[in-house]
Amino acid sequence: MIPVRLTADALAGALFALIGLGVVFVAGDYPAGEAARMGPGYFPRLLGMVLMLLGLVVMVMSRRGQAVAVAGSLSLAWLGVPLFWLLLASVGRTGLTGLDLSLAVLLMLAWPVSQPLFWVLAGVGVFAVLLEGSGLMLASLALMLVARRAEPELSWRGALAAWLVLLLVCLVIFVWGLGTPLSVWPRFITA
Amino acid sequence: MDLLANLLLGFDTALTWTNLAYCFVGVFLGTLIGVLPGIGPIATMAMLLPITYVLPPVAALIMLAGIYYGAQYGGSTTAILINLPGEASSVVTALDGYQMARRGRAGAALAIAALGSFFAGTVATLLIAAFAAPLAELAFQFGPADYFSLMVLGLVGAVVLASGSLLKALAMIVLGLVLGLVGTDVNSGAQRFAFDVPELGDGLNFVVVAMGLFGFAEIIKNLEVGTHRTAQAARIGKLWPSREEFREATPAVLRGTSFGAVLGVLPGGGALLSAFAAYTLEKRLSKTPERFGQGAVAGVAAPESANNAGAQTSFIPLLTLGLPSNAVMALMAGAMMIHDIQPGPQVMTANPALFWGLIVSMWIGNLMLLMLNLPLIGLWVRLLTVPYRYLYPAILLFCCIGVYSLNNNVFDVALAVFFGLLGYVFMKLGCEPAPLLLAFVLGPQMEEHLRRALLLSRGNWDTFIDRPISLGLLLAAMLLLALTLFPVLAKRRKEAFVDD
Repeated sequence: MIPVRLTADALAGALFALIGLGVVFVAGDYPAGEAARMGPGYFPRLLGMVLMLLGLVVMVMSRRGQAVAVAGSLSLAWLGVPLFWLLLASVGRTGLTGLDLSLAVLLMLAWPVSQPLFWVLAGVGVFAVLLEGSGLMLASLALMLVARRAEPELSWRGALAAWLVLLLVCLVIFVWGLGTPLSVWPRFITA
Repeated sequence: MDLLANLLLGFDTALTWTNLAYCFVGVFLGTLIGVLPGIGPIATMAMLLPITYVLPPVAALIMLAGIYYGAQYGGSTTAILINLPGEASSVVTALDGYQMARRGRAGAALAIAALGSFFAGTVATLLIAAFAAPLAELAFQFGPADYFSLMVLGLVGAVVLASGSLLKALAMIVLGLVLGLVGTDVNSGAQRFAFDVPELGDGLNFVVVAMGLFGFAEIIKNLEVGTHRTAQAARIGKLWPSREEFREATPAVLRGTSFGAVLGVLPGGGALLSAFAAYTLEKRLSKTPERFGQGAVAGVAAPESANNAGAQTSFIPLLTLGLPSNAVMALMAGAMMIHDIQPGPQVMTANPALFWGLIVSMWIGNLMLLMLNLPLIGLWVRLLTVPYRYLYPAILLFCCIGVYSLNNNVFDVALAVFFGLLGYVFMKLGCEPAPLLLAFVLGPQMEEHLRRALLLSRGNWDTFIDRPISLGLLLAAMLLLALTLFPVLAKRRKEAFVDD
């Protein structure tokens, strides 16, 4: 067995090769046609193969020279990439359940990697899930309270104060100024 | 005299109250984010892109362009005053600018930077006006094979100037092209990589991709590193440079402008590369190179004029050939497509008011910056005392609303989370996201041109080397790749090219 050191380059190469493989695999379902009359599968297959090749070369080259070692837990994060697509594919259509599910899995993978990564993305995810049913006011509050955890120095008082100011700014600019169709109040109030 | 008539048309368009107002908003916001480290022009433009839906196309483009060159001004202000470059392109300005400030010449350094930038902006505007028409003329003779090769050259150029591993950057380009495939194939109507998700049928929106890869990932990075800055601004002192400083700055400004203007046009070029190259050149030419880093006037004047010239001339390939030369231009291309304008030579003929209006607005914007910047320096410095812990929730919320308002669909926001994670992974693995974004924008066109070229040649790949234009472009791309193998240049590449 060839020992591949867990370096940034080795991981990057593996990621590229995996995605390339996935692309070739998925594009295999599309008719390829021939060079003179390309079908929808021709270019994707070409790209997938090049990506796979490049990924493998990056992996091989990573054994030489000094690459930066990264935390092993990062490998969990890039495992999430194909997993996410698998989930999207299996759920089929993304109603709120599919969306919830994929986001939850994604964030679970982010948790052991980095706290700011988790809390920032979780904040955005919560916003996405809440916005249409609960309105801008609650969704932005949730975003603030979750994303606050990414920075230990931001107290909840500070986050609340910032939320009030930002909500006002958003209302003035987006809702009243630009007429962005955002529901402000939760649905159970407006209905 | 065509030029004069065209410029007049441009002034006519740019000088309406609405367009002046949006130009002002653009340069103001640009300066603002230029001053603030931790948010770059790419994230800002991506954030504001959805807003431009409701604007007329001219106003939208004027505002977005203003953000880009405004950021160059703002970045240099903090670089000089507190040795904190707000943008990557003003890193070199900090070297000598801050030293000047420490010697009590902060005012002079700021004035030289502003005047040099303004001069460079004026020259670059004239250059665009002069060269745009002939270049577009040339572009009309391009066949599909030539366009394909042009895009290859553009993408290779972006790779050569990216930092880090060449191979990884190439892989990022291919990945970007793949992401561009998602959605409905225009020729066959087949759904590709959409996995029966209706929202993916129209393809990935590039605001979502850019916001995740640049916006969210940048915030996470800043929070991980921790941004405890102590803003201790130098006293500004007298603004007007002394006669000696003028004498030292003038040739540097001239050289910086011409150097930046040329480098800006090159694929992969732009403000960042121009500034670095101009500084190096100036140091090499100087009779007293040991003064560089100790507060040399030329060390401020040259990169400042070069980055502004480069920022502006990088519009030339986009507006004439339809080829964005860096990630910011890719965003501009996206903005044009949102408004149903296909970037390319036909913009000038089909939409002359937009084309010349945009160009003239850049000059007006530069003038505004000159007047805006010096009196408002106090305000900008005070802004730096706003701690990042209040800034990032604001950026996050605006990003979210911006992404949502693209299609009024929360799916896009969720997708941005995914790209944020991807951006973080790329960052940790040392993969530059800028080439990916560029390839993502060019991908669909590239496939289309490849298809057409091979359809015309009945499947014969020789068509790419039989046509002289295409052959020349491909050779240039090979030359660029070969150059990176030379150790001298390889070393220079390492120095820094991050987010342009």
